[in-house]
Amino acid sequence: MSDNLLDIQNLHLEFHTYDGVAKVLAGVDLTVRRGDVVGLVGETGCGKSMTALAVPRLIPMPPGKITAGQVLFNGEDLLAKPDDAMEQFRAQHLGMIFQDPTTNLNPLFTIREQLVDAVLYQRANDQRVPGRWLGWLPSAKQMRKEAYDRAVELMRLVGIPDGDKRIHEYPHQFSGGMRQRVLIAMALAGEPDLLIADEPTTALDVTIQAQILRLIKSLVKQFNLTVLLITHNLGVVAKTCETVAVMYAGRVIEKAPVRELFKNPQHPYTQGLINAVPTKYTQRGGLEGIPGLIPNLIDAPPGCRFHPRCPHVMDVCREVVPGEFWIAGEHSVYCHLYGDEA
Amino acid sequence: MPSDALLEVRNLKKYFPVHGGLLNRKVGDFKAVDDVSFIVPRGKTLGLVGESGSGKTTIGKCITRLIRPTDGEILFNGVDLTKLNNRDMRKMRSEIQMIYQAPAASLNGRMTVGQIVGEPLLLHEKLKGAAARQRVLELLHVVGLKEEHYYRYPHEFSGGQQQRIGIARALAVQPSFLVLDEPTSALDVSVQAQILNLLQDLQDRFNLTYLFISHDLGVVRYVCDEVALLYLGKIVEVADVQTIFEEPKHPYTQALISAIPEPDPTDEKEEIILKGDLSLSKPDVGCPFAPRCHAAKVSECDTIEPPLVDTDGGHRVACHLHPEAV
Amino acid sequence: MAEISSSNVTDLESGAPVRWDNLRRGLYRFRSNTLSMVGLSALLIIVVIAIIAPFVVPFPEDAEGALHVTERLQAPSSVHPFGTDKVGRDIFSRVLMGTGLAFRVGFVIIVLATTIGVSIGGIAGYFGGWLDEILMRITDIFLTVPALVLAIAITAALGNGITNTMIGISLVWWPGFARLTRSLVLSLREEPFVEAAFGIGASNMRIIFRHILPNAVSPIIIKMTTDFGFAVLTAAALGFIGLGAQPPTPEWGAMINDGRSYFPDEWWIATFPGMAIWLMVFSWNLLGDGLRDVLDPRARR
Repeated sequence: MSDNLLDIQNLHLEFHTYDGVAKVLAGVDLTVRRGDVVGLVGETGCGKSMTALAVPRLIPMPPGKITAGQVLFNGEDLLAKPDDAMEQFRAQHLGMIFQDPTTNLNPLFTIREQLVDAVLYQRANDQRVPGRWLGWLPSAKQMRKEAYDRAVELMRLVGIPDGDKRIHEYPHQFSGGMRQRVLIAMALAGEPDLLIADEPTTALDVTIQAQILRLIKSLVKQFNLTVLLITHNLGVVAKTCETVAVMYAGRVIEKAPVRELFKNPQHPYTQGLINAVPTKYTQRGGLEGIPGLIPNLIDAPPGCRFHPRCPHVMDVCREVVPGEFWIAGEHSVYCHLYGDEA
Repeated sequence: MPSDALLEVRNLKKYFPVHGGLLNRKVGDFKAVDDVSFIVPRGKTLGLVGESGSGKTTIGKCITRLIRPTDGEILFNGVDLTKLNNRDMRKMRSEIQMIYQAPAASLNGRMTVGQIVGEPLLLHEKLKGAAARQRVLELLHVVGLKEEHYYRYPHEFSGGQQQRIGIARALAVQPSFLVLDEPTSALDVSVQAQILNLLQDLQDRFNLTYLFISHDLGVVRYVCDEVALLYLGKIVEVADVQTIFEEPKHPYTQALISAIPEPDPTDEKEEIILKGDLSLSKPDVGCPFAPRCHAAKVSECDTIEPPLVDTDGGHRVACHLHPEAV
Repeated sequence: MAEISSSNVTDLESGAPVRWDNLRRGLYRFRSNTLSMVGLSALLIIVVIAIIAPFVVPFPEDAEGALHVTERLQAPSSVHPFGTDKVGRDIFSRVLMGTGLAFRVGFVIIVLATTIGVSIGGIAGYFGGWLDEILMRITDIFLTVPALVLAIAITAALGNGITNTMIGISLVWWPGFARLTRSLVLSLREEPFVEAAFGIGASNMRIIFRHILPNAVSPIIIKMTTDFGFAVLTAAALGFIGLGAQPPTPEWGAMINDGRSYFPDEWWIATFPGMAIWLMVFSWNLLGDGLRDVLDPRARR
């Protein structure tokens, strides 16, 4: 078994719209090592959520269409799996949490019903459950009991005080942070290998965000989880992740260990992004935005998609898509400034 | 009233009735804003910071009279806005304008940019036709939009540009005071930086005074001159921006500042993780923050609500651990 | 799906004319929906028929009540494509001549009902409070009585005749528009752009007419379209029981009633006006569905 739990190679995704074909992902390369917390950063429309949704194959098709690439999980291409095998795979190996903890819980059911369901669903699809392969299963009552115990255990794991009592409450009786904890509990129901967290703290207050990030970090240690954290917030990345990939307009443009990336950003977009966040050292008037707008992906700029906004643009950038250039160690960048052409 | 104060809020209260029971009778009050007082000095930016449910947006809406306060005074240039009748308040609106959190939703999708920005000119100066068009084009230029955007509709713009349209509309009547309600929280960071810079330029250029409502302490630190922190409808600490960030006194302020996710992985500041969240309802007696407080408690915390007192030279704190300077 | 919609943000630097983009996009959706195109085409044909009918039908005088007793109850033939009725009038001519009347009836009912309903619903929704309570309780009273029964009662009270039928039906039709408008206004009133209009000092009337109602137009137009067919149907129902247009006016409902006692032997007398009503209702419905796609694409999702 290789080091890499997840390996996305050259992923191309299109959406067919009235205006034309939007090339939402144009060759995404991303590897996630086992046990790592990888941050996928970028601004609205850069394709970070689409990349994350491509792993569990949750992109609606049509209008979406994957035109090239592979999503290798433990060396196995998920895009080639039949649908029922994919369902089992999701239940066994993947956990997902999303931005809005409110809309992802059904207000008509108690937390217990939803969490027990999640556990049962996972058990029903999990080939690892003892006896499963013999065709032997415990009685429905027995399974419900076990699932309930597991649900209470999960409530405790995600740090909900009085979990055994609060599990009988409805979602509206929980605060935003507590709801997100419930969703994390659901995602953990099947002891997944990979947790995909799509903007998990964006809807939360900053003190609650700190609680949730700390929880995720402790879960990583406790269960040897691997996390793909999608966020637009560089501060969250700096605090939580070990490795970072920066996306722009449908491509990963820079990958590095987190300290290296913030200390030594190479891609002009990464540099711009970091400079755009006010820190305690930023003086009045010292903040720099990135001029221009994100490109229209239906008619994306040829070559490097950042070239119309790039302060260091060269002729080659307008024509050739930059390949991966290695800076040092595990730091690589997709930019012609670091290629042989420059 | 200090001579340099453009806006002074005194003992502002906004209670929302809570209905309940079989007959849906009023059973109590939800105190969204509870006895809040502050001053916004002319030409400066006061940051109003708090988490959701702290009452910061309610204060902004009281000042712009989108809602009526329950009690208290809002003095603008010495005039109490709460006492104005609707007609006088409508005139006063040329002085006080607001920028909204959701740029797309704050623009009428059925009007062109020209009509949106021109509407306040029509309402306040009866300006129409070529003269209005000329003024609108100037405003578009000021906020960094182009002439050809005049006939476009809001949905054709990106979030940052939509916010520029909103700013142009607010500036049309040449106000002296802007309430900025989370003006960049819906925007990407690179765009946020552009808008923050634009707001600072405009402030310098037109001598504007800002009330900057935000939950993002990183942005507040960059933009504001003074900061007031709200917790459950009360101000817990006020000071100039440097003092707040370097010597925060209230335990809540300390926790908030420690929780700012700095874009710096080497940042080793110790993070204070607060217990629970705002759903821990406000205790009936004592300090509202006491149930979540991490600091060493004194017995008064659970019995007496701490008043907001001046601890030294304008640094006001509502905490029993920081008594009034003698 | 932020990723998809953001890609739709038109490139502003290109300077391309994008003002009519929404409309074009809508028309594209409309055209790609076969059924709504069928509805639109059918309606266009019906409109043309209504306009040219007086000039092209073989026996225009039959619409005014000419009698040809010798030719009574003839089955469809090349001379009388739809056959003749009990006094020998050409049903083909009468059905076609009735088209214009059906259109007028539907149009008047819908316009009257929309005017009353939108005003009442708009005021109730915007001002709220006791005004809302009073207006909506009145609306409820109209809604508690079955519409057709109420329409019959009002028409009977006003006296027979096509004008009174239209008034009667309008008076039971508006509550639907009032409720729709009120709910639209209630949600739009909370929108930040309405708050913003208030913030720049716009008056209540300006906010209602310039900011709220233009944003409520699409669902109202959709309802007008789908209701049009049903209004025609209701008018025909009143005609059927003798409350609408009086003989010999070629009103479809009344014509079906004429054919009732001759069914099924002389089936054509009732069948062809019935099919005309069906076609009218069905076409308007298809058009309404298509318009929903054009004006309010989210409603379908």
